[in-house]
Amino acid sequence: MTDLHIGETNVTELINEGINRQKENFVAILEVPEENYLDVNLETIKVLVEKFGYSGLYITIQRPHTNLMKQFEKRDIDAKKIYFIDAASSAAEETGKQTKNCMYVPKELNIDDLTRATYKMLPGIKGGKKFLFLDSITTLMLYQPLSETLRFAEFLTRTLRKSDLSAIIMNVGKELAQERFIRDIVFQCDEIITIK
Amino acid sequence: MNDIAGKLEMGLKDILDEQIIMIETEPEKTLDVILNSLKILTSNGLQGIVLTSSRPYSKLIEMCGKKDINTEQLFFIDTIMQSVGIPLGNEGDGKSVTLVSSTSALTEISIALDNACSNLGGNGFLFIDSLTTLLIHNNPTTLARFIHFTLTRLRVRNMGAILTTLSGEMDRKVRAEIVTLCDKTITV
Repeated sequence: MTDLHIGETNVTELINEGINRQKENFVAILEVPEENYLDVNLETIKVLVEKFGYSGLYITIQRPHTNLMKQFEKRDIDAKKIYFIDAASSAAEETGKQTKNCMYVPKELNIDDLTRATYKMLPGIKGGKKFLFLDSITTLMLYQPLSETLRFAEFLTRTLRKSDLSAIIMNVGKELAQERFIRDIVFQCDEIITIK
Repeated sequence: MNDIAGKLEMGLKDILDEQIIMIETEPEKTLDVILNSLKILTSNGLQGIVLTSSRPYSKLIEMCGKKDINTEQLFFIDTIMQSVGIPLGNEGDGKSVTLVSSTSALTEISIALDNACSNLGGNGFLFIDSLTTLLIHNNPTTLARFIHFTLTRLRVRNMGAILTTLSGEMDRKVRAEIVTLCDKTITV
């Protein structure tokens, strides 16, 4: 497994250390340089699955599941242990064929459908350590008012505390990380990993 | 090959792999970037859609001609001509161009894009000549949503895209959001 480097930063090591520090269930935010957003998203999943043995749920707001699968393949990431909720396609008024490991959020993207899909998918994830990954809370905010976006973030953190999830990871662009509403979410997090 | 063409040749090879690329450039280099990009893409045999909001499509076709760019591989969506009043004889033949009412008519642009994509039948690329101009005419959040919507639809259709913008001219937050949606950002 080759490490991901951005400038002089070994991103893989940084993510490793961040996860290693956790003693129990945790919520983490990764502040990511925008230019390397996809690379870091995928490296996060790779570390969780291959290094720490997690299985999990990937909520994709940014790009459709079909495109994401190509990216997984390109980077040789084992997607068998990952389930997906595709909210990107619905935002673009597209729907794909529902499969065992991917659920499409129907019609217009809204928080209730996203919450329902999360509840439906979580029990299907097998394994001892489970994660939930949200690729972009700021993209979700393009479609939802601030109050609804915050409601979803709160739902996720509450789900962690009362379910058998071990980790929730949300990535956010570095430039957007200082936004007031992101600071509100950060307030509920256990770990902030900043990639310079 | 000049410096701009060389940089673009390197940066744009991934477009064949359905990638979405943002090009940030200086005002004085913009036209060179647009023409060189179109030259590289069409030379590779790709068909594409050009969303033009910085100059009328007829002017762009004329410039492409001077650069030996095969415009038969290109379909244009022009957001300028109707808003400024179309000079007689420049209405377009309907086969290679759709004129939309203005640069802020994002729904109309989306419909025109959808039709053009269907005619292309998958693969190919979308070229947006100026995100900066789109941002002048649209609310930043609305534009970011339009870009997300458009890029997702392109990805579903296995198409690539190039978004051209001026360095340092975009709203900081919108730029950040759009960059995260792209596969690659290059500065020329």
